[in-house]
Amino acid sequence: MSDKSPPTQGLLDRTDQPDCVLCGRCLSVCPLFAATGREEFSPRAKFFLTQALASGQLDLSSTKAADLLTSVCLSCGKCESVCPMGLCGPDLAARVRAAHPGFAGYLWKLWIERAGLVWPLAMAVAKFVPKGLPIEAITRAKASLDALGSGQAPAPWLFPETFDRRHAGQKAVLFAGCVAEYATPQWKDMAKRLLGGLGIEVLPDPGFTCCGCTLGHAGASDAQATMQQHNIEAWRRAGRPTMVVFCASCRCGLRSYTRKDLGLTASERETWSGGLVSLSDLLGDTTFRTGEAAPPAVRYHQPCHGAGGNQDLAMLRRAVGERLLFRENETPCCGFGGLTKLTAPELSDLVAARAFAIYAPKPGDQVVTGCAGCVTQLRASAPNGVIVGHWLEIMG
Amino acid sequence: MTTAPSLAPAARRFLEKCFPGDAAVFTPEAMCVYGTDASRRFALPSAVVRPDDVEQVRELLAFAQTERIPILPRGRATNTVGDCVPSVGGIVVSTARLNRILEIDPNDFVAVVEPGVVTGELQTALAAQGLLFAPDPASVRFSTIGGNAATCAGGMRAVKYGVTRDHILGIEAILPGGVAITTGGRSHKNVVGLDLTRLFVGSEGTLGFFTRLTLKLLPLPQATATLAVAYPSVDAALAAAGDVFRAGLLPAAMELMAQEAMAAVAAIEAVPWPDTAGAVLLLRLDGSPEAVAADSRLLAAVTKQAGPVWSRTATTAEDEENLWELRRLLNPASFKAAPNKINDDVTVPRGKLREAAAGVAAIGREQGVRILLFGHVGDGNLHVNIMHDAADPDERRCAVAARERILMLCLSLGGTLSGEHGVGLSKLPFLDRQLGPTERELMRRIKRVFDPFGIMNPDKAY
Repeated sequence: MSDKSPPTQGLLDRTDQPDCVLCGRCLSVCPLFAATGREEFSPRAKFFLTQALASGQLDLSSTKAADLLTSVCLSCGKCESVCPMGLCGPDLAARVRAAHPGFAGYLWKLWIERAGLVWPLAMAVAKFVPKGLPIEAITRAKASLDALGSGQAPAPWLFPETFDRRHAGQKAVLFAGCVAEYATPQWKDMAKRLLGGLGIEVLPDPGFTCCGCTLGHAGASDAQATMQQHNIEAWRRAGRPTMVVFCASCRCGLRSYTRKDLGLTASERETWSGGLVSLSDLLGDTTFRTGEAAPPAVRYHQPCHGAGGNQDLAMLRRAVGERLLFRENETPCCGFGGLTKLTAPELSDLVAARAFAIYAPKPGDQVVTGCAGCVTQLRASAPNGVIVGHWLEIMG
Repeated sequence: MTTAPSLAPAARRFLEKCFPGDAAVFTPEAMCVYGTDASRRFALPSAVVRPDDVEQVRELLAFAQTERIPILPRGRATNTVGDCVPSVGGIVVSTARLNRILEIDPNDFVAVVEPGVVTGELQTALAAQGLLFAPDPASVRFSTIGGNAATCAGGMRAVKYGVTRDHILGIEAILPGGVAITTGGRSHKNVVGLDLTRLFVGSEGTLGFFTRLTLKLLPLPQATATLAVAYPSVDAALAAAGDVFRAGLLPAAMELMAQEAMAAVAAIEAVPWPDTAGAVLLLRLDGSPEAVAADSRLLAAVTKQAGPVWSRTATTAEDEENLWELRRLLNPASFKAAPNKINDDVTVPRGKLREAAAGVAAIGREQGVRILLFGHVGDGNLHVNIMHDAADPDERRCAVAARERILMLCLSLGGTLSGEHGVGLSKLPFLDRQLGPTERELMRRIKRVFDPFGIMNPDKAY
């Protein structure tokens, strides 16, 4: 960033935020620190740097500080879960970004010029791009990454036998998310087939756009609010139906709508939260047959944005049985989240490499997860012979 | 905040060559965090390096001695006394990339690790093989073995198993000048020569840079049980603690929380004890299932003598965890209880605990400050958090006065200024009250043997 006004000015007059007490708990959970050993990337470092800037007693370059504060954070939120003061690293990054007068333009340029693996998201946000920016670049990124679509996806090996019909006759809309919308339409098809088997009628897509989760942490809060409003209007027009999701990050993003003032009435908030259901939950007691293409071992990768529970894990444990590997103390971040994928892709790759070092899959093993971002990232960095998929892809 | 002495161009060139790529840091924005630790003191370092092999450390310490540049070892910087703060500038050496578990030997009951291994992560790896590294400081999940060794960290299990010093069999370290030394070994017994291992543990980074530590392991106890008992007063709780030992029991943990500390936890979490409780004891037993069951019955009986107002026994992992979580929440709760706290870890002989606790309460009343009192009472170790708002000069003055009085009270009872945190910078002004001039001079002379030019974490600890 090269804007002349101090990029961190908006932070200096904040008094409502408690100070970081420098206890060091966040270092143990920060995936960027774990992958790099660079403490300056840790949440503690960023909160302390912010305090140091605010104090004005140290001769710091606000541009260099802002680079550190804004460009290297995976938005996983693990730090917030262990912070005794309730501080959240991603929120700090978002605040610094939003406070930076030149950041919005910089951000849009990033989306467009370096879309790379985030192109599905870029496609979703394309209609919100300020006029005059060359969005053709996104299409180029898409073309070069078509391999991600289905080329390395697992062949199906888990087949529903008897569906849990307890919700039969109900109606719902599917909130597919950017990746399923633009890159992997087969996920959407599989989700619809499963819902059909459960006896749930899938209503027409009311025209949802991106959930806006990523944009908020990117610091594009205006664009985020626009998308959230758009989704709420679409939901209202469709008669406030139940929304079925199969991406952990989308679910996380949609759940957060009720915590913000987006014009939802009190009763709408209740309908919104109550009507947001995971496809895994709906599968309930559905039974599955394991086909011949089943790998010797399949590792469940827990998305950082799993807020509200582990619906996918519970379902997969029931469906897959002992073949499924999951350890509570081995839940590395994939490295996809936040803006780091765009601003420092080499760091993002290090985080993915560390995840595979922890999982240590053998050739022929698979990794499944329930977040579109994790699938995209892990699939691009998987070792030879290891296949990564959304759990929808192992179903047939 | 200060600016560190800047590095001569030749020194910078050396560091860039010895620590290529992102392994050396010179920009103040990136170095900022390396100037501080959980003491919240700060001074900017002259440079930061992160070695990933021992040869780099050797070269660095040879160079630093020639150039007389201070060296500051840094693990996760969770110490509360300023041990990681480069108060006179210098090169911070992070152990973040020296973080390998090199060996776990279930026959020798030994583990060999690099200093940057997080202690809790080692314990998880050991538990999978039925092994235990006993020290468990409150920061166990986010502090390193190297840091635990440098400060001789304690923890809740110390009452039964001892402190970090009791579980380190050998150390490989690099001394200023680049000399590599090996102390101790991997035998659980060893009386040959002076015990340099025990000298290095607790030396607060002032003698050499640890590169490898050989740890003593124990069989992981098969069973545990936890008892929480509340009493109307601190004095009754401490009387009960004495009853436990007198009954012939040695718990694996014995923690006290006094009323103010309990209230701080209650402010952030639902608590099971009644409002009438003035103190709570948390006790853990470990051993074989049969031994734990028998000891639990005895423990329940002896803790009744002092007149408890509430108690709860937990034997499943989940129930136990729920009780211990209340103790762990005390640290985060304390940060929310007041804008500032002075945090001391005074320790007195076990038999003087009741006198010490009564004295601390009286000082709190007289100085008009709120004190959170808790601690590892099995060790006579009291954590005293003096809560105040430092922005109010009167409050700050009262808190500082209360601190000094409490330190002096504990010394007068035959205690020590610090049971486990160390001296660092924060207790240095009081050191002469505990150590005699002859002894303190001896310590300084010992340092000069290892570090003739005083480059290892200078002006700290003693």
